[in-house]
Order: sequence, then structure tokens, then C-alpha cells
Amino acid sequence: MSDLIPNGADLSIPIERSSTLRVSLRVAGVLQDAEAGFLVRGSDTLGGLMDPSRKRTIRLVVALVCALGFASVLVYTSFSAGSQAKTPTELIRSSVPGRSYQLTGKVVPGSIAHEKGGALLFKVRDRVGTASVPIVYTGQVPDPFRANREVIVTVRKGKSAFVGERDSLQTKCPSKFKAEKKGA
Amino acid sequence: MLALLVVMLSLLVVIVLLAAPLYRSASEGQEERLDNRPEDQRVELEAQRVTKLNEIREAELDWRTGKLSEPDWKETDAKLRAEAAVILRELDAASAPKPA
Amino acid sequence: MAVVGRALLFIALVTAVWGLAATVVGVRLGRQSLIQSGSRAMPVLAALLIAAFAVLEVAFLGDDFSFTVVATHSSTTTPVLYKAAAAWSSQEGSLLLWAMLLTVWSTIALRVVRGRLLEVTPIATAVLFALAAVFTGMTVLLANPFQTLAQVPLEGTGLNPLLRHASMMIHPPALYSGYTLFSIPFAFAIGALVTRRLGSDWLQVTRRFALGAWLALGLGILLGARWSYTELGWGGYWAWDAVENAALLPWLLGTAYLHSATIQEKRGMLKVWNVSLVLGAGVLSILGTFLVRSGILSSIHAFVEPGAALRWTFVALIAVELAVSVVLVISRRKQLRSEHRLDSLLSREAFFLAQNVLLVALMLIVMWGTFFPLISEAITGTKTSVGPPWFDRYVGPLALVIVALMGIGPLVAWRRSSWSQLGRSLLWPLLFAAVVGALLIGLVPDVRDDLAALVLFVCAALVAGTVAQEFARGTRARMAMSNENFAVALGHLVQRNRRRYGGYTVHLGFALLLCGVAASSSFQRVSEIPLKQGQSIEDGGYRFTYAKPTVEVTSERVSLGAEVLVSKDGKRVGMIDTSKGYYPANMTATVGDAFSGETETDVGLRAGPWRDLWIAIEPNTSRILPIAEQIDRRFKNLTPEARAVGIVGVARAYLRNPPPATFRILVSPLVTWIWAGGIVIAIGGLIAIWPARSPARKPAREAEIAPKSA
Repeated sequence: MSDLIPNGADLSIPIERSSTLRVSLRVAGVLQDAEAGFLVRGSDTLGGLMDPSRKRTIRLVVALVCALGFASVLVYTSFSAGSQAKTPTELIRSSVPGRSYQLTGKVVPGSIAHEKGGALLFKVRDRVGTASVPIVYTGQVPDPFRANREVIVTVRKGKSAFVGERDSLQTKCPSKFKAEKKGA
Repeated sequence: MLALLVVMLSLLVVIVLLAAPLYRSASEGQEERLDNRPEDQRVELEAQRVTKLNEIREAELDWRTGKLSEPDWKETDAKLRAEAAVILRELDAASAPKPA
Repeated sequence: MAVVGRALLFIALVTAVWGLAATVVGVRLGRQSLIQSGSRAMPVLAALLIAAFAVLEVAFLGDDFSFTVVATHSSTTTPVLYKAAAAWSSQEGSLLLWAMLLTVWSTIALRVVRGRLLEVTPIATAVLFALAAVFTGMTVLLANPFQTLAQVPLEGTGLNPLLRHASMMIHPPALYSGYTLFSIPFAFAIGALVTRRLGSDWLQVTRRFALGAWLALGLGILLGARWSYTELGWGGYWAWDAVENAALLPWLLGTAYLHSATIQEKRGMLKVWNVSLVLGAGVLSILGTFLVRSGILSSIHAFVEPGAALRWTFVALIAVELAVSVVLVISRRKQLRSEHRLDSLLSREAFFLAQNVLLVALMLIVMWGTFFPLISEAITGTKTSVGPPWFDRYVGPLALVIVALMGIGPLVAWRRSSWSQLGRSLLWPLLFAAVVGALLIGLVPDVRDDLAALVLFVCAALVAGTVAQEFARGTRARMAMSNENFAVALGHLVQRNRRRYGGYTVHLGFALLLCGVAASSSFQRVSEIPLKQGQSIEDGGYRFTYAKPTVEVTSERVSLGAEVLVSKDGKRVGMIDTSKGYYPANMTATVGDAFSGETETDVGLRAGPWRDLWIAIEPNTSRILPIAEQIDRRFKNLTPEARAVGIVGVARAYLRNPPPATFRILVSPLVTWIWAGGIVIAIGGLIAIWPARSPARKPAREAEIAPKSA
């Protein structure tokens, strides 16, 4: 007969082999437990078979209600805390002061300037088109930032220009870059 | 034309490798069924034996480190050993030499 | 050679389709020979794709600019290692890499599974062939890596300097390995569902691959975070960017799966959870690949926009995978019924279930936030996006609860635990955590203002205490069972219970990592300020002085920078170098061109066990550019040597008369703990995944001993 324990194993696991009948009965008993679908142990479940399943239902309902509540909070805050994405044309057309918008577009060549106080000035135009929006931005400027690059910046409507949120400037990172011709 | 040669060679190699099993079965004249090959059964049972061994050991470790109460452990241990006995018996049957 | 590559891809596609057909027909008709031919096709396919990839690599390494991708992603001056990595910076190359990795892992998986799961494996093989065929088909029909240029340029446009970082070489292959490795448990789950073999066999066999996928994906994510921290000019490591999140989603499900798989093995429960988690991770991996490469969500990762055909192929693939998964799970729900029920809420099973729920909740939150622009567009018509504050608000508390679970979970018994038993187990870890908490409150004043961070630190200490206790308990148990001393017992304990103790090590690593995240988020000091030479600024307890400007001119770029003297309480801490590199716009042109190409920030980083000092510089070129313009106006058509002289002259001018430069200075506590935690996680994962020495087969032997009585 083959052995459960390999040679050299330091723990021996003795298996009762002496009585085939006992083993098969026990095996049958074990299988029966599994098929029954629940584990009968002790007296608590035998006494009140309603209780476990009732408890389970209650647990499920509570869990679902919590989940639903959480989900609604999530959905609500995402709509109210989000900033709308707009192109320069859309921004010019309609923007409410005080709301933040995600402006996407290309940096207009020649529009980049540095203010005395350290702010960065530039204009963002539509991907296709010429409508452009002036931006006053403070914060970190990513390395790829330059004219004609696609940028995303969170802005709010200001007096003369749109004010960029601090550190919100992102420039799309091209995995390849084309040699730019002078004068473009 | 080296490129063409390389391509044709690769194609040839691929076709040979993939068609070989089909030729082999055609020449042998009979088709072996997918399951119930004794060697495969033995491999499967052997793996189950190893798993059971690990399960039994792990249950004991669970008990010794307080993750399983003693009555629970005794019950689990007995059940696992019974299942192991079944596997061992099947392994014996599979290892027995087949009648020619 | 491009023709050879393309031909290899064609043959590969045919092989993949053959593999799929042969396997499916073979199963249908019960013809073993067809199935054999099908399973052979996998290593053949892998070999073909490796060969095609080799052709691509050779082209990159050999500067063969007749290849379009080489000409647009590399140059003769790119260092060798980055040339090799440039192969997967392109859309086409990365798809080929994906297909290649998938088939390599599939070959290994089929070899490991050989002889087992005989009913399930052919279906799994068919699924893997289908995936391979789709990706190979993409490289053949939609994104050809072997396109050639009619006119071969003399020089390529080069790799974006931002990508020239060691992490960036490993980051994409690691991520792709993670994504493709998740496809293997996915395929086996489909196979198990189709053949209704839903015991724990398929789980056990594919568990290693799920763990490998989880490790690879985690490594890729951490590498990306490290790259962002050390290379980019913002000093952060996580921005809740769409593509970052895309990698996190399958990873979260993978984490949940690795835990609840244990439950199914031990108690036959959570079968629906397990199969759904695996299928979900597989689908999300394809989704992640899609997000990286398609640009449908705005992200700094968005590369060249692919054609509509490629996008729709991905969408179709995801839709099919999702539909098949849902249909299979619903139709097999009877076989997926639990063998046992939850006995008590204070049980290991319940804790695992809670952890599953939390991780899935986390996944859904991140997914919602990531896709919100598309969702809001569908509902309201305008794209609205949520920023990091929204993510942090929800992820933070959930992560906190998960850490608490990590600390208590391992101590809870199976089936049912009593409060007294749990209390006894928790005693020492809780004591330890309380001591740590008291020390923090006493010694670190900042912590008192941030309750959330304090709670996290205390929970992390609890995790550490629990892990230490578990190791101690296990070693003592083993010493009781055998006659070994502590060290030997410990070694054997880990060796024989790799999954468990590897897992505990991973928990410890996580606790460290999250401490680092909490500390560097809550207690970071940021200053952005222009400094004249000699000026200083105080922040975070340190004094930073702009000591002197630096320049460096090489054939590749010009860098302007500064040496910053750092001191604390009057004592010198060290000198930090930081600079900005300017790459020329054109390889052969004017002096001014030297400053008008790409730029690269060389962050000055002084890492330490308790805090990092991070400095980036934005030099002011307004004084030297006019000088460059003057030179260009006077001298047209400069030779390269004369141009170099001009550039050096301009650089010297910067040194002589340096204008104030803007510095971004960060003092971030415990950032090193993030990377250290990552290493500990990797070690734990390796322990868990390492295959145990399989006991040799022994000839028959009788063993008749009474059952062991304790």
C-alpha cells in the first residue's frame, strides 16, 4: 500500500487503516455533512433552526442597506465635487465664477511669459481652432510643458484671466516627440 | 532572399510540430480518450495526497497557535485523515499493475 | 528584416487560431491528438512571438531607422539599455510585448499543470489562445511594429528624456507581466466553470499564478510611483491618475482573491466570491491595458491616440469576457454553493469576508472615480472629473479599516472565536500598539493634530505586533512538535508554511508602506520660492541655502543647476545637487536651440530613514537666452564644434551672473518606509510563491498506527 508520509519527512501522520468499515462509514458521514449544506454542531443550531438563517437574512439586509447608503453618498459627492471638463471654446461660452473647470487644450506658441511675482502666464487654445483662453498659473510646471503641447489645468474664472489651481497643471507625456521645426 | 528562406523554414517547422500528433494518431490507428489514463490519474492522486498532508499539518499548526479550538481540531483532523485514507486507497488501486 | 518580423507575426496569428480551433474541436470530438496538437501550439506560438520581438529589439539596438518605430522612439545617442526599453515605449511594440508575455506565461502554466485538471485545462488553453489571437491579430492588422519608412532617416527622434530612468525600463514589463499573468487564473476559472469542476483543484493549481500576477502588478505600480517621485518635478508618488488607477483595480481584486481562496480550500465557502474575483481581475487587467493604450480617459499617460479599430477591438474583448463570465457564474451557481455556512461573526471566515467586501468596495470607489468623466458625460452631457481630494476622502478611511483587520484577523480562530480567546491573543500586540501610540503622542507633536494618521500608525503597530507574535507562537508550536532550537524551528516553520508566513511578512510590509504614505501625505512640508545665490529658507526644521550655481555641458544636453546647502539647528547636514537638463530641439542647429527642446528635472534627493529632503530647481534662463540669440545672429551656419563653444560660453555666463532660481523644496517624513515596505512585501511574496520541495514518490508501504490523539 502506498504511504502518505514520504521518506525523510519529520512528521509522521498516522492514518487509521485497521478497519476499512469504520473508515468508509466515517467518510460517508463526512460526505453527508457537506451535502447537507450546513454544519450541525452542538445544540444551538438543532434547537432553533430558524435562527441561523434569520440571522443571515438580517445580516444581508443590513449589509445591503449600508452599501446602498454608502454608494449614494459616493455618487452625490462625485457630482458635486467634480470639475467639468471644458475646451477653451466652451469655457469662453459659459463659465460660472467660483466653479472649477478642467481646461484641456494646446498651449499657444508665444503666449508663455513669467510674471514678476512668479506666476506663469500662458494661453490655451482648442485642439483644432484658434479660440484661446488666458491663464494665470502658480505652482509646479511639469517638464514637458511647452508651446503646442496638450495640457490639462484646473481653472476658476478670475477678473481678466482664468486662475489656475495650484499644482494642477498637467502636460501630456508623449512617449515619442517630434522634432519641432523653428517658427511653428 | 535570406529573409524568405528564414520565413519558409519557420513555417515548415511550425507545421511539422503541430501536425505531428495528428500523423502519429493516424498511423497508430487508434484514438486514446481524453480521460482515465492511469498515469494521469496517478499524478492527480499524488497531488491530492500531498495537499491532504499539508492540510492535516496546517490544521495541527492552527490548533497549536490558537486558531482552532481543540474540539474543532479533533473533528477536522479526523475528517481530513478519513479523506486521506480514501485517497491512499485510490492511489493503491491506480498503482496496481494492470492486467495485460 | 522587417519582412521577417511581419511574416513571423502572420505565422503566429495562424498558430494561435489553429491552437484555438484544434483544442475546441478536440474537446468536442474527444480526439486526444487534436488536443495535443493544440497544447503544442502554445510553446510554438511563444517561440514565434519571442522571435518577432527579438527582431524588433535587434532593430532598436542596431539603430535600424528603416523601422518606423525605431526612427520615432530611439536615436543613436540613446544609451543602450534605454534603446532596448524603447521597444515597448511604442504602441505597436507594447502590444507585441503583451502578446509575447501572455504566451510565455501560458506555456509555463500549461507545463506546470501537466497531468492535472485534465478536463479543465483544454478549455483554459482555448481561452488563452483566444486572447493571444486577439493581441497578435492587433499587431498584424491594426498596429504593425514592423512598418518601414520609404526614406530611411539618418537619425531618430530619440526617447523622451523623462522616460530615461531605470524604473521606466522595468515598469512596463512588470505591469504587463501582471496583466498577462492574471489571464491565466481567468482562463482556468472559465475552464472550471464550463466543465463544472468547481472544487478547490483549479484554485490550488492556479494560485501561484495569481500570486505572481499580484506581485508583478504591485512591483509595476511601486516602480511607477518611485519614478514619479524621483523623476518628475512635483515630488509626489501618486496622483490618482486614470492609468495608475487602472493598474490598482485588478491588484485590489487579486488581493481579495488570494485571501478568500484560503477559505474555499479550508471550508468550501465563498466559491462564488472566488470565481468572481478571479474573473474580475482578468477582465480588469484587459481594461487596464486598454486604458493605458487608448487614451479614452485624459491622463498624463495618454500616448498617441490609436485608431478607432484598436479601441473597438479592446472594448469588444472586454465586453465578451464580461458577458461570458457573468453568464457562466449565473448558470453554474448551484455548483458554487458553499459547503458550509458562516457560524459566527467572530470567525476567521467572517473577517476574510469583511476584508473581501472592503477591498471590492475600494475597487468600486476607485473605478467610479476613474471612469466618472465618462459616466458624467453619459448622464449630464459634460465631462466632469474628480480630483485626488475626492479619492483620498474615501480611500483613506477604508484603508484604515483594512489595516485594523490586518492586525486582528490573523488572531481570530476558524469557525468561531470566543472573546476571551481573542482577547488573550490580542493582549501583547495591543499593548505594543498602545505603547507606540503613547510614544508618538509624546514625542511627535505634529501627530496630535492629525487623528487619522495617529490611528493608522497605531493600527500599523498592531499589525507588526501580531506578525511578531504569530512567528513566535508558530516557532514555539514547532519546537513542541520536534526537538529543534528556536532558530532552526523558525526556519523550518517558514519553509513548511510558506504561504502563511510569507503572507504575514507581506502584512508587515504593508503596514510599513501605509505608515510611509500616511506620514508623507499628512506631514509633508512644501515650499516653492525663488532664491538668490546665498539666500536661504527655513522649512520643516531645516535651513536650505542656495550655495552656488552649477552647469554641465555634454554632447546630449546642457544642464543648469544649483548646489543647496542643508543644515539643521546650525549643524551642516549636507549638500544637495539639483539641476534642470535642456535637450536641443534639433540635433544640428543654433546655440539657442540647445535650450528649446525637451527639459528634464534632475531632482536633488536626500533620502533618510525618517525623512526625505527633495529639491527641484527651475532656473531662470532669461539672462542667458539673449546671449545665445546674439551669438546666433552674428554667426550663421555654425559647425558643431563652434556651436559647442558657443553653448559653453553661454553656460559660463550663467555661472558668472546667476539670476535667482525658483526652488521647490519638500520635506517628507517616512517616504523611505514606502520603498522599504515594498521590499518587505516582495520578500514575503517570494516566500509565499516559492514552490515547496515536493515529496518524492515512494513505493508502497504499510502504515498501521492508531490515529494521533493529542
